[in-house]
Amino acid sequence: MTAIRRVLVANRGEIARRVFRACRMRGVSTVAVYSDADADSPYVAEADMAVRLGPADARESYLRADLIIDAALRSGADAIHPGYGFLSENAAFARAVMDAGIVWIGPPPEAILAVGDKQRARDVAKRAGVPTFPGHEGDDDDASLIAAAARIGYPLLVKAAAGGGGKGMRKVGAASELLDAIASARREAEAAFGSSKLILERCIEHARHVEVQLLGDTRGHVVALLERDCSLQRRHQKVIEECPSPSIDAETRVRLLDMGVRIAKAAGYVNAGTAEFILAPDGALYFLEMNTRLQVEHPVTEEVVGVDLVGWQLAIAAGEPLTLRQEDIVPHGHAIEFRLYAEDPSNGFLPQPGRIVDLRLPQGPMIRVDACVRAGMEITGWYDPMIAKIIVKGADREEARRRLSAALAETVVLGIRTNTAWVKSVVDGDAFRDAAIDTTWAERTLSATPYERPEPGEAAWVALAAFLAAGGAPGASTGGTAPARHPTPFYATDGFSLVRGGAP
Amino acid sequence: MRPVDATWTEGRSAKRLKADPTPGGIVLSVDGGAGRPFAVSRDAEGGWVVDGPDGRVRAVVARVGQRVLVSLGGHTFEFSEAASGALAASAAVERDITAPMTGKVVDVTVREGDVVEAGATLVVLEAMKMEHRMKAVAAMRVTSVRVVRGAAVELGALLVTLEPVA
Repeated sequence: MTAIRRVLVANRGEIARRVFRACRMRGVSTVAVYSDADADSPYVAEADMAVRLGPADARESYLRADLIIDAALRSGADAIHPGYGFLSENAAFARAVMDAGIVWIGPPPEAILAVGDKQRARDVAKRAGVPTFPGHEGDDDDASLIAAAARIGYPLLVKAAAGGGGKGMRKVGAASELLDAIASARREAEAAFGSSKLILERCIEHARHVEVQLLGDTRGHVVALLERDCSLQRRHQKVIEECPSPSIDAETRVRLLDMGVRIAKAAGYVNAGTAEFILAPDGALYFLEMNTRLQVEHPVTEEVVGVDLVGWQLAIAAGEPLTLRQEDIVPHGHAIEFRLYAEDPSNGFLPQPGRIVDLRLPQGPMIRVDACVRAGMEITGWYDPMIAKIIVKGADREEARRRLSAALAETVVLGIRTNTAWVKSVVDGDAFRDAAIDTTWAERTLSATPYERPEPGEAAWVALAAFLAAGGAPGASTGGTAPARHPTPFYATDGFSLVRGGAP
Repeated sequence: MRPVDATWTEGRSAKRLKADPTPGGIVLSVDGGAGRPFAVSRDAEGGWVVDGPDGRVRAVVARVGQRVLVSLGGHTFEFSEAASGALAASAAVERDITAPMTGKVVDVTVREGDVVEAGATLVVLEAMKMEHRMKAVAAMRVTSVRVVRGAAVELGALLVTLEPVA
């Protein structure tokens, strides 16, 4: 057993806050690291200590293993949690952390190497008797990829070997688009993961994305904490995730979870990880890849299974035994997560950096918000455009769906465009209600009917008129400059009275 | 409260709003219609609560530059005051390729004088780790390239200018 007393989180934003929470539960002190772009971010203030890494560019801050390990040593941290993205699946970083005498809160570097790379993961899956589907893994010079693509057939996916989250991934519909996609995926992969290595995969139409949450301890005990369904994606980026999956029956679930456990055991896996699968329309399951880290969407599992996954990550890293038994892991209700992105659905989902002038995130029973954002904050173009995760729970899927719809109606982000209204239209629609959404549903639907911003109804015009009549005319106020750390009427710049009906 | 008499637009919608102050609210006429009374107040978080003949409207509203943002029901409307007689959009903008987001130029694939086909990539931008390819919508000639690879560009920055191929 290794005592963990101070944890440095080698990440930023909401996931840093999520890890800090788990640390506080265990009486562990916390260290934040930050780039110049994040110096004023709430997570930096929330930690017990904070260390500057460097400039905004992740390659000079959050991807600098040397600076992070140095920060841990200087701050007296005895463990590092990598979060997701950045260096979280980098075996060399994990090794360097351990070589510096610091506990790595994640799988051992050998396990990251065994399954973190997509091509090695396929070998592990084959050893574990788990099916994979057609793809190319190996030489990734242009000529090899062109030859492999001809063998696999179109449409296919060009993916970053070290990747995840849609970064460095391109769908290619025809041979003429291949070289362009390869060049662009290489650049994105290099920028996002520090490795430009690419692989190819067959693209299965009308597939659903299901994934198994796994936990393993240092004694070889592995459990599967049910599955998640992440079928609503756009540009291969997950938008909505739920637990349990509405698209598999009990028999398939047993099979799926067993496959996940077999892969983890074959890889000697320790700590939290996720085995991703493609569920084909005919019910066949294909292993896709293993994410050797905490997932963005881990909260839906936590809510349905009733566990603190990050807490378990800390316990396992400290050498404690995993006391969960597979037979005790049963779903309690249904949870759905919505990722709130700073992007414009009416304009190709382009990222929308800018200042958030006002912000209301939903509240209430069975609503959890994991975020690191406040009114007045600048969303920079440096990092991922996700600004919050909203997780709702219900006794069943339909109750959770209705709660999510109401939560979305309550969500306000003023100053930058977000995906909220588009996602609400999806959640309210028949396809989502009937759990009929596959991984390319959003792309197909949007290319048939691009999302258009709704025209304002009577209510919007009335609200505008009331605002203008109360002094909100041009030049009368300057939205966005209020010290809106705590958005309350006391910062309102229009001089309007709090008293109901009371004009100034 | 103070009187309002102005035309505002949102997307393709435009309406003339005429509001006269009353104790605790306004009488509002839209597009010259009959005036209707509304009580105006604020909720505990500074949101706007407007009670009228058809019930209650709750919204969060803020001014950002020349725009007024009105968020209700999960969507944010972006209102602008109409400049008199200038509602029609300019048709010339397609010749100017501008940055649809703040970001970095990761590639410039054309040079001045090049003739490109419809769909050809001109400039590749990156923001928030996502690439966006700026493409020609028709066969055009490149008349100038205003950015270089590696440059940081702001939203709306001019990247490339084009002219129709004769």
